[in-house]
Amino acid sequence: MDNTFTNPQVPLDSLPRYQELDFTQISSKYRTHELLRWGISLLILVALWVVALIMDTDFEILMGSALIAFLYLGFRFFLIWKKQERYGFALRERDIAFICGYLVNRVTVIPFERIQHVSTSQGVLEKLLKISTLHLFTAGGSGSDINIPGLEPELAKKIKEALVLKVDQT
Amino acid sequence: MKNLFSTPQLQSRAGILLIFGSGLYKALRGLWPLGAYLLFGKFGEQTSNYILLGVGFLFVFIFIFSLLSYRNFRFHINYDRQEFILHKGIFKTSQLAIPFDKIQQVYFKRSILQRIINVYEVVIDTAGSKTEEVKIKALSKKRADALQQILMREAELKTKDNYATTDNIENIDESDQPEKPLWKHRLSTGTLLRLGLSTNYLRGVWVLLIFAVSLFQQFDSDMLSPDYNAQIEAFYDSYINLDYLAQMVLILLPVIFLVGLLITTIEVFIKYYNLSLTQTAGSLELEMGLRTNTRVSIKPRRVQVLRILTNPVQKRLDLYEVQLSLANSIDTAKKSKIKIPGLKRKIVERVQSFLYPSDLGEILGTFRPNILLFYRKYMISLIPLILGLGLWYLFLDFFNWEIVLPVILIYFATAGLYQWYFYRSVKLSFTEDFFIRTMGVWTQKTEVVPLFKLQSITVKQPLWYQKRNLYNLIFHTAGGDLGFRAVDGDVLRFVNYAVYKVEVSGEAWM
Repeated sequence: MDNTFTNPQVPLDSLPRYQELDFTQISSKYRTHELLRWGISLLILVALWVVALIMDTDFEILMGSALIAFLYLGFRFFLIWKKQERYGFALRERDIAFICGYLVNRVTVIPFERIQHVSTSQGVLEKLLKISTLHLFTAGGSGSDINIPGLEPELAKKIKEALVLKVDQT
Repeated sequence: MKNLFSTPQLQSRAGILLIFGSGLYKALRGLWPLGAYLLFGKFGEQTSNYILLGVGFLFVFIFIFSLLSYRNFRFHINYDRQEFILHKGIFKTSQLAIPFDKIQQVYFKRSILQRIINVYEVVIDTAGSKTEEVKIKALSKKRADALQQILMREAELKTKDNYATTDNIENIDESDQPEKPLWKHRLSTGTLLRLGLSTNYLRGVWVLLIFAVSLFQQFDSDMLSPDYNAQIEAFYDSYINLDYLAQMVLILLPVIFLVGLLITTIEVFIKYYNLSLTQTAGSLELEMGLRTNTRVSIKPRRVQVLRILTNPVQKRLDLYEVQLSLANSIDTAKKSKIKIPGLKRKIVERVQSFLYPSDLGEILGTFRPNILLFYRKYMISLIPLILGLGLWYLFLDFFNWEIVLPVILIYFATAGLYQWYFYRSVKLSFTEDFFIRTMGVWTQKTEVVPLFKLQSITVKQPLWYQKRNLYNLIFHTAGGDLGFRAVDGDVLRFVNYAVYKVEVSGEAWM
């Protein structure tokens, strides 16, 4: 065994920077997924509005609610459109980073050593569109977990297996 | 010593009494309407005899039940498979096996009944959110002590095995030293009193308020009668003027203050009576409480966040509170925070040097939030005022600018001052191995976290921060999140540094 103990100072600025990571974008099918969900909420709101119309609600209330719903849905649509380009993930030798969010841009970095377990999931719409979500859990609570949506199922599985291997190693 | 508890063990005999007591209590709680009926109803002699028979039968039934439950509650330690095993249940039996490396903590608890029959309740805390903790309700002091010592030692050895390759030197030589105390600290009654008097009374006042509101609600229905409403109107007409209000406030405020102080002091006495802190080679033993006596053994490895609290008065009296967040999952967040109040600065330093053997070291970088944080917090603190005024205006007829205007001005000024001092108090520093967050106007809080204990880091940037190059940071630990808002982009160097520290440390975070 090598007995010489070295502990050289680490220059702060020479460390790898997460800001310079080259994030891999997620599948554009995820936007379709989000737009479908948006469409469903649109349908529900329209249905509610029609019911209100039949039940002879005040004209002002009808118009007001229609305006609010229009603004809300428009805003959601805008966000879905903008957010899609922001989703991305990057694997390094020792950690994984995930980026998302348009209004509030959010990056989470989890070192492999801190991953508790990894899983994938597929909702009904996701199954239809052939995409899945990868979940990474740590002991730090829900805020510190990463959920990467819109991955091709094979890719998600591949990353999951690679991560499980890394987690077991450490 | 090695083979202690290796055969199935029963609890202390006195435990039957405990099970019987709690069984009786449960039965009575379930049957109290019937009991009330029996007490106050009128019966003939014949019926009374049947009732007595029934009650006697119930007693016998519960006694047999507790006897069986006592006989079937067996625990032992399987040294070969490194597990603690518990059998229990009468009709539906269950067997529980806890591997040593899943054991987080073993501590004692005593209710009044347990103290009367002189037994200890041993609680075994396990890692993971789903598994429940194990409670052994009645053991003699000797056996409880022995069980705690063995389990804690085995748990420690086991986790050490797992990390043997990566553990550093100081963990290895603490292995088999006898558990003799290195130092001991006791909270005297005088300190307890000073602590009670200097603790935040707002809690006491709050308790009082809730009590008053619930009392008020009891009589509410009577008060809403038309007759009463007329009274109120008359009352408003004759009495509500500024002088009267001022008088009421002047009389009521000191009374509320005094009662709040009393409640707070009593609460402090109940919670922390007879607090003692002992450090042995491997752990920190804490014992406290008047109503339920709690004994906890704290291992440094489980501690994720060290929090030191004080306020200006307590600082003068050399009183500090230490709070330790232990590793857990979010859904059990409450029980894993340990509060140790009334410590001298010197003791706090000892606790800190026990938890973190290495010195905090020189500060490599200090960050303070941008002024935007002050604006944001000030805006948020004005929301209750606006809402309150809005409700007042809409629902109460009595809207008098002579009162409202001073209230608004005072609120604006105090909220502004408070938020300003809060903003000035927020600070984040990094040393080689730790980060330290300080904040607080009255209660001053300092949190120390070793960088390698971080689980992950989130960096957030809202659109409107982009031009100013500001970020919100969230450090995720297994003992909760620590956030820091509106900090300059220069801090990202330290975010990268923290990630680097986690990845090279190789030390077990738990």
